[in-house]
Amino acid sequence: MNDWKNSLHCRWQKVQRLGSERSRSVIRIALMCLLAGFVFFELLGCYLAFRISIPVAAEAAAPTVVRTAEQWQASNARLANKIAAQLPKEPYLVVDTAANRVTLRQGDTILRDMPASCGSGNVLEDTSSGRRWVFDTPRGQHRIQSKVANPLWIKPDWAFLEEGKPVPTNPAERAEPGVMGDYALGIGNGYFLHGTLYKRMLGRNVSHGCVRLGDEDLAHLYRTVPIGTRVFIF
Amino acid sequence: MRIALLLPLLFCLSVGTIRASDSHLTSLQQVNALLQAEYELSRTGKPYLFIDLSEQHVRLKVSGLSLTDWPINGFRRWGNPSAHPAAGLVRKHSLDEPERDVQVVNSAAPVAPSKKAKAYELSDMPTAYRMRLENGTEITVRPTPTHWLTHLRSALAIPFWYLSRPLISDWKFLRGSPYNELALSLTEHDARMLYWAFNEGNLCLIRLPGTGAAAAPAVPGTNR
Repeated sequence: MNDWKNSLHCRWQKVQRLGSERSRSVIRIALMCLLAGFVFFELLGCYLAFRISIPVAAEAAAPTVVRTAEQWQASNARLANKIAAQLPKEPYLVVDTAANRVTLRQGDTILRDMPASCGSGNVLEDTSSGRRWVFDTPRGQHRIQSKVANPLWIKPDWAFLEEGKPVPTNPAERAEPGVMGDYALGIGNGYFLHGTLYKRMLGRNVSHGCVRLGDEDLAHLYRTVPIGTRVFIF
Repeated sequence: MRIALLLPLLFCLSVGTIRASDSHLTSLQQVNALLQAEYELSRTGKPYLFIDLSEQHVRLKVSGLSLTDWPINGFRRWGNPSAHPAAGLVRKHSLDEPERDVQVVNSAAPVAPSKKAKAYELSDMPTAYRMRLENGTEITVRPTPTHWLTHLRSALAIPFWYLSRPLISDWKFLRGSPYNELALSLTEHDARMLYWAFNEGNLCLIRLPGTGAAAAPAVPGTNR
């Protein structure tokens, strides 16, 4: 009886050992497969990334131009000169809306660096009419279109709504003297470089999109900057 | 016999010379394509971004004029993140996207807004974000590590970055688009400035390292 029991026990242990060995090898094979798959997909990804370039329509459409090195160099020099020809030869203004600074430059030389106040970036929404104003200084390239001494501010609708006042129907009620400083230089679409009553706020984003400047800087610009001067805002 | 031994050497030298002149031509051609693209952009009068990996600078330009530039402290690229011709920015994405203060008024019954709106300023801009160009190129911007902890985190992220990109490439390939990424490391201030200045719709040019660094003629007055 004991012999029979012993042999059964031995057999059971053998089965267990065999099972654990099998499961271990199955796990090992599975891990190997996973690793192989990972390596395969890694290599495939590398191949796809570095062998297949972005299809560019213009490149595909462009006929293959056969040129010598000298011809390419001449063409490159011509293009560089064409780009250089776009650069302003006369003084120009650069408005940095993040740093709130205006610089008057000529070529690479900074002629005058001025603190300013640019757009606050806030939003005003009128639930009644559905109108929405974003008080950003317009980015891009502009030109000085007008120069005005003793400018009068013709208050837009948002100025009344912000103060909690009704929008007047009589245009004469919109005029407000003395708030834009001594001069204003228009850059189009109702945006100006002008003076301010809040000189302590120069250097901060507080305006409704116009560029506010200090009195002396504004007077200097009014005197030196002609109409047509380029204004680059970023 | 000696002449016969010299023949393979001569062959190798001639092949080397042909390949070198080919690469010089390719370099000139790449510079030409880049200048052509920049010329087209400069004519529009709109601001564009010029990512110069060769000189490690990001420049914001209008009409060929460099308005401002930010040095690149480091970069990694995956695939071919070129932008020839220029590609427009489709979307900026960040975990902490800045929000503008909105004031609501009613013109039918005007009442002044109760609270003063906070300005949308440079300090609100994120330092870590992703930008997607219309040709599918992803540009990731991260601040340059300044503290030993951020150095450690950044060092640990490098192997993960290189291991994960092939898998993303596979996934994107299955979806029918190649995956190209450019990871830029800028100072916190410059990263914020880039987010501030480069907006949806603006175009971007990328000059890859080694793209005719010696062959590119300098454009006068552009701080190159």
